Amino acid sequence: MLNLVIGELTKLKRKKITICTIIAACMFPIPVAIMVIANSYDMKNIFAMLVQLGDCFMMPLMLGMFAMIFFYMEQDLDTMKNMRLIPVPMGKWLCAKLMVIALVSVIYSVVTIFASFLIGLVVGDISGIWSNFIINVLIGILMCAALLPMIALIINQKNNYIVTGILIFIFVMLNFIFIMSITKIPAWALPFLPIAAVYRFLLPYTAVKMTIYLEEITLSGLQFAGAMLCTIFISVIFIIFGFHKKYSR
Amino acid sequence: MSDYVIETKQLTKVYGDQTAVNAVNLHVKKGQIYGLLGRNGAGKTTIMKMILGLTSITSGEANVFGKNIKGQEKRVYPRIGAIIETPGFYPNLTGTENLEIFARLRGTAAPNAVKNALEVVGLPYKDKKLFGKYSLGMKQRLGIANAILHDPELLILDEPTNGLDPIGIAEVRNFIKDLSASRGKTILISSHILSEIQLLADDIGIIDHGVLLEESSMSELEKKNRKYILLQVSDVPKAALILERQFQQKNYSVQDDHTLRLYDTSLDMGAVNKELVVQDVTVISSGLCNDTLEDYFKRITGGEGIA
Repeated sequence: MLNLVIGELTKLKRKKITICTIIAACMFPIPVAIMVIANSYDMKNIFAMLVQLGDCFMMPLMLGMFAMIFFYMEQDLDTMKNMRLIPVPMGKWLCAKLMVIALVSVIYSVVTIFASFLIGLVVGDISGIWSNFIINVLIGILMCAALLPMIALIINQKNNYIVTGILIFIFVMLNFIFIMSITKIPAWALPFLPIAAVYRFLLPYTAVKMTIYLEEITLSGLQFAGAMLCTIFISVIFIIFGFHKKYSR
Repeated sequence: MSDYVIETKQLTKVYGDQTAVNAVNLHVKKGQIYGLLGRNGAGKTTIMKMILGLTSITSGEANVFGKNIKGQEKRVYPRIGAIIETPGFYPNLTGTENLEIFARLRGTAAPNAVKNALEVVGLPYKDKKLFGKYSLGMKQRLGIANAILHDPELLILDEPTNGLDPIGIAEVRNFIKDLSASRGKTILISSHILSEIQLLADDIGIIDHGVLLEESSMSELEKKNRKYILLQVSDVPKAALILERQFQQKNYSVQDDHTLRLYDTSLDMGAVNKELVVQDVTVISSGLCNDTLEDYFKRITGGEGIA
């Protein structure tokens, strides 16, 4: 398994999407820093903005693009036959790919929090940096599960970058609408809006100030766990089905 | 247990209403080089893909090392090295990095496997050139290096000399021969280049429109090739008339305005030449000839020759 993960990571060497993801993670805090300095925000504001715009919008978009290239790579480069002739076990290979995406997700979150720390230093407020760090790593981990529907979508497409790119954007935007609004999400829709579900579950730890409206839309542990389990279950079925189809084609 | 490393029985592949491979019975012996010869689109790659389990079989069966690959991949694949169609690698990595990934995934490769494989195909180890910048010939060589990386018993090489320059072709041919001769590897190689197969193969299978027309050893094939007398004369119709009337010969063919082929090699050519001269037909040349493999290919496929 370790060999597979190392192999998958090696494939990303010098790949433009890897460089873009790292640059995006590092560059994103710059406009946030400008806004923070212009409005004299404190650390809580900085963190809330980074979670909303960074973890819940930029990261899913970047990871979507990354996952699309990562999963389409073998068929685009005609290396699938090499993998099959080794033979690389399909299940293990899929796990290795998902682990790499999870790793990128966590790294992205860590880079974001490091950036918030730097902005905090600029504005002279680094209060709660450790709790923010833990919350952000938690967001990174939960986001891996929340992004599974997007990965299922990618795998079940026929290597069409434009269509898949548009679908990724729609998925992220739909979630983002519910992140920015204070409308309640019906229980049945939660498994289809997992990014918004993660955000609303962690609202007490990320919001600048908990208002009565925010308390109303915050998800309980039970609601969140139910929604995420549903998301994971449905997504995994589609991921296995789609990957098997690609692998055996 | 079968004597063959590869054996197919009535192997058939149908795409929609088109039969790509039709009831092929292929027999590849241990330690031999088997050349699968056929024009582009004849079904060579499809046969190889079916043998390797890379495409489904419509009917019939393909056994490798006496087993059907389906369900035995873990046991059989480590004993096979293959290049099918174009070699697929990661363009953002160097040749060495590409091979290191596959060596790591195979898990069975010797410590110096990558270096050795690159040496065999004449590519530099730890070179900084990325695969994306490789020439077609270099890509092909890397594909072969990947196929031999784990020292397999059986090599399945689909047109391995594609894109190579003449020197490269000769080099690849030499090391393929060497792999079989000194290391006892069994090799199934396909090509549309007749001369390549003629120079390499111990056994040959001729395929056309998905049908295996002929399967025999190269030596048998050479024996089988028709012998004939090539007669070059000034007046072919008149010569033909003399042959028919004076020598009762009907087993001949007219090649062009000045050339005839006589298939009865027991004919007394001294008498034939004399009679032709007497009857005012100039004999430019006459002699015993053998069909080339190309002639044979033309004859059995009923069409044009092959490169």
